[in-house]
Amino acid sequence: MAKANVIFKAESPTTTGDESIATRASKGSNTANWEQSTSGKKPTHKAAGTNAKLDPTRTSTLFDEDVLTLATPEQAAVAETWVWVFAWVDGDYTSDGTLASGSGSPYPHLVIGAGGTSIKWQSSSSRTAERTVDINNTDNSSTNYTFGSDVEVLILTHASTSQVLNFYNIDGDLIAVSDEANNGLEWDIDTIGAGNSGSGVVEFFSGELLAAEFYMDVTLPTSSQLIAIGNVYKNMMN
Amino acid sequence: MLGLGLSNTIKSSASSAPKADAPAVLLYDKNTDEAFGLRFFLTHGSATQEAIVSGKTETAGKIMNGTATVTITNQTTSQGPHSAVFNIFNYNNGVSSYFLAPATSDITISGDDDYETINLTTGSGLPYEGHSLDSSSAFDEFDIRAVLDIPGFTTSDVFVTIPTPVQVPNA
Repeated sequence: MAKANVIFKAESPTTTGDESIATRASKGSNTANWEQSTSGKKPTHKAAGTNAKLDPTRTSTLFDEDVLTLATPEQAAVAETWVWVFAWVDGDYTSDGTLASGSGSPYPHLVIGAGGTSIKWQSSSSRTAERTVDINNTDNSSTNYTFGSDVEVLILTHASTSQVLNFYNIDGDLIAVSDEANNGLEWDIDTIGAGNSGSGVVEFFSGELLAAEFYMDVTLPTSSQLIAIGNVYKNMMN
Repeated sequence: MLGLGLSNTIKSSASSAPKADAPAVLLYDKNTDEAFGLRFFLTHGSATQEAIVSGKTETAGKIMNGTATVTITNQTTSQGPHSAVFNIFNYNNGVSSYFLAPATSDITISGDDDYETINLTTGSGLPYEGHSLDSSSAFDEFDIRAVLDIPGFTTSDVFVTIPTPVQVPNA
């Protein structure tokens, strides 16, 4: 199989429930660990059977003003095709919540907007400011969608050298498209669970993360393959 | 949810034995190499479950009674379908769940990877030896089906209760 560059995988049947996560190996080709040394910022491993929305064998990682940082950042280059997959449950969309970000200025990030009705992002290039695309209409897509509290998936795809970003949900439905200049500029990602401001972490993701996967330099998935990706996480529903 | 709630009884003759319950779910574990895991549930108190655990200790990694034949097709590359037989092991999380592995005796669970034992490559000694289901793609679609074969029962119906196709492990 083509190897993912970086993966955070919440599934860990041998980890004790409610254990704070100080380090967890990335499962991708980037073998650096996901780490957190500050006790108050460590996410919590949730044991099987503790979340009724998940299949009773499934474990998850609770992010509640918590953050993990990859020891070696992963770069998404302009000339590469990227596919990023995030899966979570019990998302709280009271405020903006950051799925992934970078700690280097201008602090790239991928954020679920408050209300679960939009997606925001910023690349590692200072040539673009933060951009927002609404998902709760069909202005930019074929599907009107709002993220809820059950298992959710966000798939981001970027074709090599393209300025088009496509966003898909757990059903493989296209929920947003952004076709703006410089959209596909380089991203340097090293953080999940929060954004960076230069003086600290901000815009925490609130929910139980199931996975964060970053594939670079791969072939874009077909529409049926997008459904198959979503099915991985549908399998985790109770 | 095939076969749930049936009040099967174990009989000595295979020809008159009831059909094993098909498990409630068959779960798929993604991992980052070619190995992944399959686990499934049976309803508490079902005759099939009683047969699986009869005489066995229900702790993690203990081998149970019976086998499961898992047939996998790489729908993207048209590799397969290929079938392999796996033994059934206790998953030990209090919900009567089990996982499949090619091992023939108890497995020592020392880490998460010990649950992820179904390998899609063609290497010697692997479950699908000589029948690679792997490809270079990151997002192949797989169809996964299985049947249970439990002592005292005829083989279960095919159970495919996970949404398929699914993406495969990714390394």
